[in-house]
Amino acid sequence: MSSKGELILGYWDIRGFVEPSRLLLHYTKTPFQNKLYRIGDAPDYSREEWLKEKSTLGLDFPNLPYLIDGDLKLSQSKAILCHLGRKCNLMGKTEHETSMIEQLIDQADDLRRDLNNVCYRAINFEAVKKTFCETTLPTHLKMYDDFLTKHGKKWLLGDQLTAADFQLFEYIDCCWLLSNDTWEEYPRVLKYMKEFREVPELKKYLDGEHEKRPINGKTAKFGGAAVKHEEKKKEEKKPDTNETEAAPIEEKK
Amino acid sequence: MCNIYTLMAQSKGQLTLGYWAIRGLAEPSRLLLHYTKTPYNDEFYVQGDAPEYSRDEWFSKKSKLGLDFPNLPYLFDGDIKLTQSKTILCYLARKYHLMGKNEREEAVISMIIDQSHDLRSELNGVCYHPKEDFATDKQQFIETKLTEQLKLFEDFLKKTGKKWSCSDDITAADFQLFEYIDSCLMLDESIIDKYSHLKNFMKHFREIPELENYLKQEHAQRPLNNKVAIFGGTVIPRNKA
Repeated sequence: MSSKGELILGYWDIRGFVEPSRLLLHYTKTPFQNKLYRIGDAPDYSREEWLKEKSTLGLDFPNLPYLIDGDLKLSQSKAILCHLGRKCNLMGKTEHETSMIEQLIDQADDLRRDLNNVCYRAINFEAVKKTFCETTLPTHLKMYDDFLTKHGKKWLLGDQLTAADFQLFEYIDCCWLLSNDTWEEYPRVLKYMKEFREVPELKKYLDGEHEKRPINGKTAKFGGAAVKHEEKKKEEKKPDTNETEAAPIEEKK
Repeated sequence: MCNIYTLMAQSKGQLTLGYWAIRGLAEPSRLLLHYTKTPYNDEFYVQGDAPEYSRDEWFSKKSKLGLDFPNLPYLFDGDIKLTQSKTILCYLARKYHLMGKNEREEAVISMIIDQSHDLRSELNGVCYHPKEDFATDKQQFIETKLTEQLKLFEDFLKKTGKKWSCSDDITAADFQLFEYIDSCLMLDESIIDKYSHLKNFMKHFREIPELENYLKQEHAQRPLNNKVAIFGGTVIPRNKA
């Protein structure tokens, strides 16, 4: 039970879809209870810790993540992030800015779901990963690099952080861990990520708890344990004559 | 380059909503626009026929519209250009005061919008890329995911006890919830019979005076999904209005 008035944010003990909200809460120094549910080990990967509580919390749509804010109980990671954003005045100063923030949040969410589809892939993982890293991800990164260049601000919408920045940083950081590439073609994105890591209110959390937490659940082919970015040197990247033909990934409708 | 109608619409200060000539993910926004009697231009993109199902009508314009994240649907409103269906719906809702009266209402509306979007995405999976075959996937979807979600929405409506899903006034959540539940019911209209609150909600929505005509005409004549879909790529006759 939380102390009166304290937020409770419930999720697996991973970064997944809730880390943007955790980052926002740490940045704003908002006290909250980080309720963590552990996934059991192989071979069962038991979700009992969550399943036994799932229907006892009074959630209308029992799911992870959830947020309890007084008598308001929310699920859906983006609804949670935007609610916290509104509470902490990080959803823009005008209606146009709010919509830009929501668009960026939704856009980054699409990328994180694409990443999930790769990371949890049991069959053909290497081929699917290759397609993601060589096609899907560059398309997204180029759009963000162009966006940051076009608007020419420190953060996505201006010189102040907004909810969109917590979402974007986290989700491209997860892609960074899978990608093992230099991203030198996206200098503006690299600068953005470097500056985010230096935000004083977040440095300690990012270097500590955040880094030690896996990005995905234990059943994932990639990211089920905490990983570090390991950059391949460009000169070592030689064509592999035995590479599997990448499986085609359907474009979004 | 936009077509001449879009350019005309833009010069009149009219909104333009660009999407495939299907209901898909843009229909909640169309419903909201019709409800608020907002003049707007529907910029339709038509997928080609079998066997190629060409999307060139869209791809040929995709990078020329000045969108930061080129995608369908998109919305032009003056110099505002947006993508992402939920962002567009919420933008329009804020413009026409349909996003709740306070922070708490807005949060619940956002949650309902996201929750019903998840359901529509699952339906898309069944209609476009069944894991086994369509008939098997359809049955499984109805018996598991759809049943589970309809029960949650039913209990939510019952608990909230308001005229509409989130309040006594219609909100963005209602356009989204109606359209996406109705999309699922195209698989089997009788599914809704078990859920009295949802059934009432759907009935009341269809009786909204500002929407009656649109729902019976244009909306009813628009396919649910794109031509390439295994289900819903052509107009499906309804049992009931």
